[in-house]
Amino acid sequence: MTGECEAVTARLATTLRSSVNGDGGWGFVPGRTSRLEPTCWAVLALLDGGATPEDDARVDAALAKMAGWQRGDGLLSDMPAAPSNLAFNGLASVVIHRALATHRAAMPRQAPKADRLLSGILATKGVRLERSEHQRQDSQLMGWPWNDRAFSWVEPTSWCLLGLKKAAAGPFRAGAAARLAEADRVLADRCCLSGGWNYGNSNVLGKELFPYVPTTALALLALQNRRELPEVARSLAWLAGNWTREVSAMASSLALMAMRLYGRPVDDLERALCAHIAEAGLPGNLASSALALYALTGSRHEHAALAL
Amino acid sequence: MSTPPSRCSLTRREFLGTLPLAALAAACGRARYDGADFVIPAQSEVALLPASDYGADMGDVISRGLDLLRPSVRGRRVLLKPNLVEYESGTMINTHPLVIAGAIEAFRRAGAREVVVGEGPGHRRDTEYLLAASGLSDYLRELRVPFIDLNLDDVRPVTLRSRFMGLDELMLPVELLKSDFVVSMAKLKTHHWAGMTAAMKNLFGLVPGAVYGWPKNLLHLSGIDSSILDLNATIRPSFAIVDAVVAMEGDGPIMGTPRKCGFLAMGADAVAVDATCARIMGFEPGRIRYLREASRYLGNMGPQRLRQRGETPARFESTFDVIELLKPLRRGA
Repeated sequence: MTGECEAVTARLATTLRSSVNGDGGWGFVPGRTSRLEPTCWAVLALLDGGATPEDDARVDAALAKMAGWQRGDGLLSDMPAAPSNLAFNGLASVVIHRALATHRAAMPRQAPKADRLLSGILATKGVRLERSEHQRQDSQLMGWPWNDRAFSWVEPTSWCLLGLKKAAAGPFRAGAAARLAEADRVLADRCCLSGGWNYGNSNVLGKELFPYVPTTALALLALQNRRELPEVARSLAWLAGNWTREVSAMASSLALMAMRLYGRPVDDLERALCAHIAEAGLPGNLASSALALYALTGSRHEHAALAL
Repeated sequence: MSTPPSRCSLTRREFLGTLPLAALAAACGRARYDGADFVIPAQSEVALLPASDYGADMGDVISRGLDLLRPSVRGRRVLLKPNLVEYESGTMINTHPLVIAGAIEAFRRAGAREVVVGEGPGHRRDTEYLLAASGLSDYLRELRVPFIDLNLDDVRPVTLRSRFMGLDELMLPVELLKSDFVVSMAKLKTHHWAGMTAAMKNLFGLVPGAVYGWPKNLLHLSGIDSSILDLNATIRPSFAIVDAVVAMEGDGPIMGTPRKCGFLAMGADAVAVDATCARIMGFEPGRIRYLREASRYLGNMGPQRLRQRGETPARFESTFDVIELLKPLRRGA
């Protein structure tokens, strides 16, 4: 790691540690209400990238905060009256799985129940739409929507897939296989002709839509165990050739993790991410800051939380 | 961008346009709105200000519009809500940053207590990238104006003031709710599902992605026209500025092509602003479903109830290239 990267990593860690809320969670912006996504990334970053007993205490407090967000249906919702965000729940599942695997011999008593969360994710469905002349894709396939009973999109499908696949290697198995297989097909079906993924469809009204770096990296993370798929190979090549098109804390961090987990060189990406943050300043969004910290400490933990 | 189905049991034909939205709402067993909550002005002013390209002094152009229309800005906290959806080099998807910068200057000159820019990009999560790639972050830094990512803001449940979507409430960003002068700063574009996107459709970006996702799929599934109506009825933007210096025609709102139009449209009545823009694009406003319904309770659409200020629409009128689906919306079709 370059000196610049070490300095950036230290700044990210300091920011994260100083911006935790009194209730144990993190808001998207310092001082704002604790929310699920930044709290998840902060837990992951401190769990694997942290080094102090105080970080362990922060993780415990954050897990307790997340436990308070768990609803009767098993899903986590940071706003009582709002629908659950499935992408963030998929991420939460990854985080809790990692905490179970590494944090302690026993999780703190106050932590979300992993099995209930996974059941909640499995119970959530995307709507199946009739085939449309407007799109090439098979809209009958169901992955995961952002909110229950909405249409399946790339990001929530990827996160829920990743969460379930991580858990499938452990005690959680029942009922997941068919959903996983169908969600894999959703991602393969939505892959752009050039490789890579848009946030939604690959085409509409006869036009090919643009693939993007963060969505491509995320879908690749979810399909790590399906490297035989031509869509994966095509998209990995697209990402390797196009990550420079979008350099940001979010896009470059996700790309860095995906490239590392596919065994591709990451030195240039890591340098670009550090240089971007050094020049542009820390992201205003704490979820992106924590994500960048987790990405930049990857040589320590090899992104094991996301590895399939 | 999937084709939106209806939430209630209607045929596709009914959904796509043979029934008025009021009838659709009735078919779903929901009252639409209380007419006593809404007052349509006797006449609405819409100003058209020429700007041949983005090199024009946009602060001056917008100031002239404000002088003509005299909205009550002094002492207010102004939230400028641009259209920032996704970015691809060479496209005209977003409100141009120079128009936003010009609006900041103009509203400051007009006596606003504070001007902030807020948007919840509808398609892409990476707002940091969008702000940098579109060039907006440079202008905001220079002008020392905060950007609020409305996708990630704290939220509060708000009761909807009309109920075309079949929902009683939506979570909306706190920063929006504490602003007392909301300006919809749209890009004028064709929209392959709604017909057009301008001041009214632009409000989709106020719906928080951290709750409802990217895109705001709840709005699509609830019906785009219905969502436009409920959002506008509930938020009631104070003012609209539509960037039509270079608009988008063809397969908008993302995959269309730039079309030079050379004007900004401004007004306090978003229905009137959109209706004026629709006519300039070559559409018959009454054939655009959200406009037709909005003219019954939100604002003025008919030319006899519009007072055009600045340039006349005729100066900018042209027939936008549209996809086949939208051709029936054209004047004279």
